[in-house]
Formats: sequence, C-alpha cells, structure tokens
Amino acid sequence: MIRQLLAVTVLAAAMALGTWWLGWWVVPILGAAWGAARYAAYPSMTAGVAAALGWLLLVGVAALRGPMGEVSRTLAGALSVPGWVPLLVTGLFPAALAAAGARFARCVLPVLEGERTGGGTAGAAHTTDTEPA
Amino acid sequence: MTATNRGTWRAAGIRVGVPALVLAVLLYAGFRRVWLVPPLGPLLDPVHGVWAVGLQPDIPEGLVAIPGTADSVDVVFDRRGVPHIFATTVEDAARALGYVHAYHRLFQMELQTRATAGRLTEWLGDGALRLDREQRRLGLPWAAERELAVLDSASEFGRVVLAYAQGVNARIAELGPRDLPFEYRLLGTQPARWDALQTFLFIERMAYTLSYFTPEFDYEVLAERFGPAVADALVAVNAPIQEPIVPSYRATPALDAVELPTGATGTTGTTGATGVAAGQGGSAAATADGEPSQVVNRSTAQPLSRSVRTLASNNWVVSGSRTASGYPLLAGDPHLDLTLPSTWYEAHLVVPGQLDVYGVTFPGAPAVAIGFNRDVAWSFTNTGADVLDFYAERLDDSTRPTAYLMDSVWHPLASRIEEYRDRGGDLVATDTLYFTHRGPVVRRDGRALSMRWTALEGQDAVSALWDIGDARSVDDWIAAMRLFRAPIQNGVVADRAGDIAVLSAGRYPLRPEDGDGRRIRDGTTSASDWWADLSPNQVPYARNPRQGFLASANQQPVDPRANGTYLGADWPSPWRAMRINQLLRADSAVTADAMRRYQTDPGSARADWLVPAFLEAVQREQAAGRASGDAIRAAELLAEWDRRYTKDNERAVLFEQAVRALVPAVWDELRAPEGERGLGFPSDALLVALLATPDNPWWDDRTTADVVESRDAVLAAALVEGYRATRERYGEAEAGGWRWDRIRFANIWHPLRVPRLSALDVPVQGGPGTLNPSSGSGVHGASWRMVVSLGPDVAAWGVYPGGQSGNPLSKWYRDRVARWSAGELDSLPVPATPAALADTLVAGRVRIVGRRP
Repeated sequence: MIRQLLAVTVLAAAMALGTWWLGWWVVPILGAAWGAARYAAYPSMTAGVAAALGWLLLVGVAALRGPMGEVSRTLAGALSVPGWVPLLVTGLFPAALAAAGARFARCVLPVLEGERTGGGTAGAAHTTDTEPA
Repeated sequence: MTATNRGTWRAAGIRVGVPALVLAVLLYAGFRRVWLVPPLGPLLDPVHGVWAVGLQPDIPEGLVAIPGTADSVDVVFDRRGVPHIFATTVEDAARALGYVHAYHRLFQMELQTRATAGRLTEWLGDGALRLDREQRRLGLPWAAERELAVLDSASEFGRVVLAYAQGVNARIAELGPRDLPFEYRLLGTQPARWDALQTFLFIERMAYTLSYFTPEFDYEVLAERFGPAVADALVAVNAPIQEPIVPSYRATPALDAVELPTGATGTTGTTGATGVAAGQGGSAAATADGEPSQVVNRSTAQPLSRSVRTLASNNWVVSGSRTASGYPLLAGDPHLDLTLPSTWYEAHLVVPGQLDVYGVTFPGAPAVAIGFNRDVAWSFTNTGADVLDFYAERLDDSTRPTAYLMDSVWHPLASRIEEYRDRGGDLVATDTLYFTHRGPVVRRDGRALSMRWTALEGQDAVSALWDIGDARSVDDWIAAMRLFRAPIQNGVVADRAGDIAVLSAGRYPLRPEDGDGRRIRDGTTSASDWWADLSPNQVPYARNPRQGFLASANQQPVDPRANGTYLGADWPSPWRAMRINQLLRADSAVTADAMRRYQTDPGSARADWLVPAFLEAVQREQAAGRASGDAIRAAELLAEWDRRYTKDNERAVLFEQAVRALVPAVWDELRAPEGERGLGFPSDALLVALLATPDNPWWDDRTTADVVESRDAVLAAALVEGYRATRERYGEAEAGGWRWDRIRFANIWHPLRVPRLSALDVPVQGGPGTLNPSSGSGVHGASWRMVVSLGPDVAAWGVYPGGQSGNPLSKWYRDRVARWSAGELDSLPVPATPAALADTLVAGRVRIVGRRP
C-alpha cells in the first residue's frame, strides 16, 4: 500500500514536472506510460489521481505567489460558470487525460504483444483495469 | 478465421476502441476549440495556461531589449502605473511607448484595429461577418492603407510610427506561453505581429466614432413623410438655443425663433422668442433631452444612421484674470463609450530639449492626445461637424457595375476585392467594393450611393497630435492644429504666458449651391461635388475673450447670426455648455479644485428650463379645473426637487420619467408606420422652443381625432404618467427607492461583454444634460478627466474610469473606478528626470536597450 502511494506520489510529481517543463500534453503520455508499465493495481485510477494531484499542486504553488482564486472566478465569469468550476476542471481534465492514456495503453499493449507473438488477442481479452501488475 | 477468433477480435476492438475514442475526444478538447470553449489544454495548464495570468507582473522586469533602440531608455512606473519615459531621441520614446502600450493593452490594441480592418471573423468566425462587412464597406481599411502608403518614413512622424511598431513587436516577440494576455486565452488565439498600418486603422476607428454622422437619411425620411420644411426644422442647421463655443456678440443663452411646420396638416407654427436671451429657470419652459437614453429609435435604425447627439464631452479654459492663482486653468473631460480597459492610457514622454509631454494616449497610436507640457495644456471635445455626404449614383449595371455616369460621361469604377476568412484561414465570404472619385459606393434601399467623407481622405490626426506635444505657446499649438484634418475637434488651449484659445480644428468641406449637407446629392453631375475647404481663417476660433474663459461641450460652434456658414446640423442641446458658462460666470476666482467639482456638477440647465414648464402647466390645468389629484401630487413632489442630480436625490427620477413620457407624446407623429424605418426624436432644445407655442399643432395627439390636445394638457399628462411609472417601478416617494444612485449607474463594459471583466452598476452623480451626463444604459460618460494649472510650475490632476493595465488580475485594472465615480482626481507627478520622482511614488524602473549585453 505504501509502495503504491509512493508510486502515485512519484507519478504526480512527474506530471507536475513534465507539465512545468514541457506542457499539458505530457499528461496523457505519462498516463499511457504508467498504464503500459503495469506497475499499479489500478493504473487508470492511479494515473488520474496522480495527474489531478500534480496539476492542483502546481496551482497551489502558484497561489503562494498570486491570486489564483481570483483567476478561477475571472475565468468562471468569462465562461458563465460558478467560480469553483475552473479549479475543479483543472483537476478533472488532467485526471481524465491521464486515466484515458493509461487505459488505452493497458488495452492496446496486449494486442500489440499478441500480434508480435502470433498469439491472437488472448492478452487483451484478459486485461482489465483491476488486474494487479 | 473462425467464428471464435472473429468474436475475440471484435471484443478486443471494443476494448481498445473505446479507450482510444475517449482519449481522442479528450485530446481534441485539449488541442482544439469546442464551440465557445477554448482548447482546454493550453487554457488549464497550471504553469503556462490561464493560471499564469495571475502571476504576470504589472510592470516589465529588469532589462528590456527593443531592436533599433539607439540609446538606453529609462522608464519609471509610478504608483498609478503610469510610465515616465526618458529617452534621448523621439524615436526611442515612441519605441518605448509602443512597448508599454503592448505590455499593458495588447489585446485591446489588436481587437480595435482588427475590428476596423474588418477581420474579426478570423477570431470569431462568421458570426462577426456583419460587423466586418460594415467596416470594410465604409472604406476604413482602404483609407488606412492609403494613409500608410503616403507615409513619409523619413519624416519625424514617419520615423515615430515605425519606431512605435517596433516597440509593440518587441513585446509580442518576447511573449511566452505564460505571458499571453487573458483574452487571447479565452479566444484560443495568439497575438499577430503589429504593423504600422494598425496605427492608421486605429485613427480611422476614432474618426468613425467621432464623425460618422448621417443626418441625410433621417432628413430624407422626414422630407418624404412630412415635406422638406419639416425635415429642415427637425434636422435643423441651427440650434434653437444658442450658447456657442465662440463667444457670441449677444446675450446667451439665446432662444431663437424656429419655424416648426407640421407637414401633415399644412400648418406652420413659429416657436421661440426671437433674439431674446432666455435666462436659467425662465418660464419659457423646456423639454426632453437628447441624451442617448432619449434617442430611442436611432440605435435601431439602419447602420448608416447615427446621431451626433449621442456623443458628449466638455472642456474649458480660464484666463489668469479669473483664477485665484492668477495663472490659467484648463479642464477637459472627453466623453466616449466607457470600456474596461479604458480607451486611454496615461504616459509621460521626455526627450530633453525636444519633448516633455504628459497626458493620455490611445493604445495603438504614438502621441499624447489630451494633456500638457510645461508650457501648454489642451483638451478636446468633438465638434460633430458635417464632413460626410452621399451622392446618388447611376451605375451601368446594378449587380456587376463597371462605370458610373457623371456629366453625361461614363467613368470607370475602381474596385477592390474584400475577402473574409475564418479562424482556420478558410474563405467565409467575398465582397467587391466599388469606388467613384468621391469614395466607396454603398447600397441602401436599392440605391447606389457613393460616400465622400473627410475621414477617408487623409487625416493627419496623429501627426498633428505628435506635433502639439512640444508646443511652447498657444501660437505653436494653433499652428500645429491647423494641420489637423479629421475628426474635427474643439480644442481649448492655454499657455504659461497667460493666453487662452479655442479652435474647432479640422477640415470643413464646402458644398455647392446653398452649402447644405443634409441632403443626398445628385451624383450624375460634378457640380454636386465639394468645391473647397473652409479657409483656416474661417474655422471657428476665439482667443483671449473679454469674458476671461472659453468652453465647449459639443454645441454649435458659432452663433449663426455672427457667421451663417453651414458647418453641420442636428447639434446637441447646449445644456452642458450653458451650465459650464453659468458656473464660470459666477466664479471670478476659480481654483483647480473648483474646476474638478464642476466636472461632476449635478446642476442641470435642462431641468432649469423644463421643471418650470411642468409645474406651470399643472398650475394652469388646476386653475382650469382639469388637473387630477395625481397631477397635483406629482407637481408637489417635482417642486421639491432642487434640480440637482446628486446621488442621494429622490426627485430627479420623477422628472426623468416625466420627460420620458413627454417626448414620445409630443413627437408622436414621428412614430414609424408599420414596416418603415423608425426615426429619432428631435433635440430637447427644439422641444424647448416648441414649449413657447402652446397651440402649435405638434402638441396634438394625431391619433385622437376628436380632441385637440394643448401643451399644458400634454405636459400634465406626461407628469402623471411619469409619476405612475416611477411609483410602479421604484415604489412610493418616501419609501427610499427613488434615490438617484439606485437608479442610474455607469456601466463600464469589457469589449467581450463579460460582466466579471467589467465594472457595472457604478453609482454616478449626474443626469441627462449635466456636465457629467448619465445615459440610460450608462455605457457612455467621461472617459478622462483632467485639470491643469499653468504657472511657474505646471500642476495637474486626472483620472479615468479604469486603470493602466489591461490584465483583469492586475491591481491596475480598475483601481481608479471608485475615485472616478466619486468625482475625485489623482495628482499627476511630472518628474523632469528619472531620479526626480520620489521613491515613495515609484512602482518600478525598467531600462530599455537595443540589444541585451
């Protein structure tokens, strides 16, 4: 369990650093890598949680230096949504991206492996998000 | 493949396909705009996205490199966010100004020039096509391109414009993902490179705002429905109340007689007291105001119809002989659409030995438009002169014309293809514009009309504004403004030596025959063309008048009895001018603080003329036994009003509701028949003139065939209706709901109409026709207020409703709104050197160099 938490924390840090250095599109790539690595028990969920944590951590750090609440309310006003929605979506969007990336990788990898080994799709048929690594 | 294998593959396909689809949808939303939602990836990215806007510094940090900078430039930002730019050449000063404009207002600059260029579809898609087409069909981008084409890049002004563009582009070039202004993120777009053309586009936009008035179409409809005599009277060349800018030889305000034929009945009534000076609060009575809230139908009229009366500005200058200090004082408050960020940007440009000018600039143009230097101060109001005419053309083909007929000869039409593109660069629409020698051809009501407009023929506006920045005297300033062509402006000016002057500067076209510009002219003859411009020595001008002050508030510049040359028509009612002059006549020791107070003075010349009319009408109706209880009660309440639009006033609303009822009741004949174009109401001043003739047929409600309504009956009924409407909307008189600050507000909108980015429901002191006018929608008002005292040392104060920064998260985005609302002004520091500004007043210092070391 602790190992899993540690892994998620490391992934969240990677999400944050990757976004910092390269941009938002790092998130689905790291999510896919996470899914392909078959490390976590629930790769989609953990990737999503890590991505959300990573981004919200960045917003939190920014809030130490600037009025992030005001940014959220201003953006919300511009989009005619409640003030907390931008913050929520800033967590949900990377979570969805990372989870989808992980899920996709988790599903497609066995298919590719099956293709390589000529073993049909057996791997894919048995791959689920709940399968332990 | 067996059936089992096929099933397995299908299952695998679903297992892979569904996540793939979900991922694809998310990536699409991340990279591409979905309906109104910008791409989510770059928007929400917590480092490079919208969150970064909250971390953007209010001023540039450290060293800034602008290619082309000859010598280092020091920029000191004061506590109000105003840059004090110290350069060694004017080009470097312009470069720095371009940079700070772009730093604080880049989106605003691009939006307004893109709108003028008719290129909003490239941001907003084909929803903006109608707006884009209007701008291009008016020839605004065409004219800007022609101005740029003749720009002498070797002249000082040419060098300044090009250097300014370098400064803007330096800022654009350094923009990283974290620096992108908020609005670009909302639109999911990036700033385009700034071209010198955009400065000219901006000037065309101002010319459009300030001089695109087309009384021809109202005049034409009136003439068709009621005859030319009615059209002449209602779109009048001369204001019925004279309070001219150039001091008159007779007592003012003067209520002149006006012929008011009815047309429909063939009856003619003469109104007003010929040549009689009518005093404030006189019993001659008055009427409704032509402020925006009253010009109800003009905004719904076809796009070519706009009223000069919807614009307002004030300026005045007082000679040292009438000031407490003995030195001249100058005040100015140009009224424009109120926007956040503001139309204006304050700046101080210093080039030792050449330039030391402070004032407000337009983001997009390299010049101080309204301001002062150490010797001279100036401010402008719009003149509203008639500088645009239409000509009915005969074309050889209605759909694909190639020539127009003039003097029995077919002349080739010039043409220009206009292409409108969407965000992706795909073609949305194409137009072919045609031009006669007069200007662009517009189509209206099935006719081809060519348009001649001084704004399309070279304005020299920015170059003149640049030149006045280093004027050392009123003479210098007048000489520079003689080159100013469009949009015509009433400039008041004072210098340290004690001279004061006013000049309605610009190019006034002279028409053939009677010189009248209200009619659409025959395009098939060259005899219809403008034949010259008004000579400079005939342009409205006054200097050091005996009265010791000069004021302008968009009123008719010259008393027609002094000079009958046609300058325009349908002038705004002179209520503000009357009030300024009243205040200045009563004060022989004016102070700068008094000037400040006058700018938001709540007194109303309009109310002074109209309230007695209501009260006396009810009295007469009561004496005749015709007044209702509501009429008597309403009159009692109205009589309690001190005729001041203070925020806590509880009677102004009743007056306004009564006037609102009165205007359409009087001008009921102007209601458009079903399916026809609506007309605006005539000016309030004309209604005042009408009040002097109780039996004029205009008072009659034509829909009541068996009754002839009298003036008093209409006034009393309007007061009752106003009382009813006020109670219905705001409750009983003593319930507290009639307070003016709960009824009228300023609404300062962001151009994207996002309430969160705007300042709405800002309470204001002032009402229709006051010096600080409050329009019904609140979107119009004093866009800058300035008072300057010229003495051994210049002292100045100013404020505008907004802040220096265009970043909604900046402390300088709307920091001045509260002080503007309260009628307060900030002291404007004018340091002579970078070190002269006290550290306590400094927000930051920046050095601009040509290249980073």
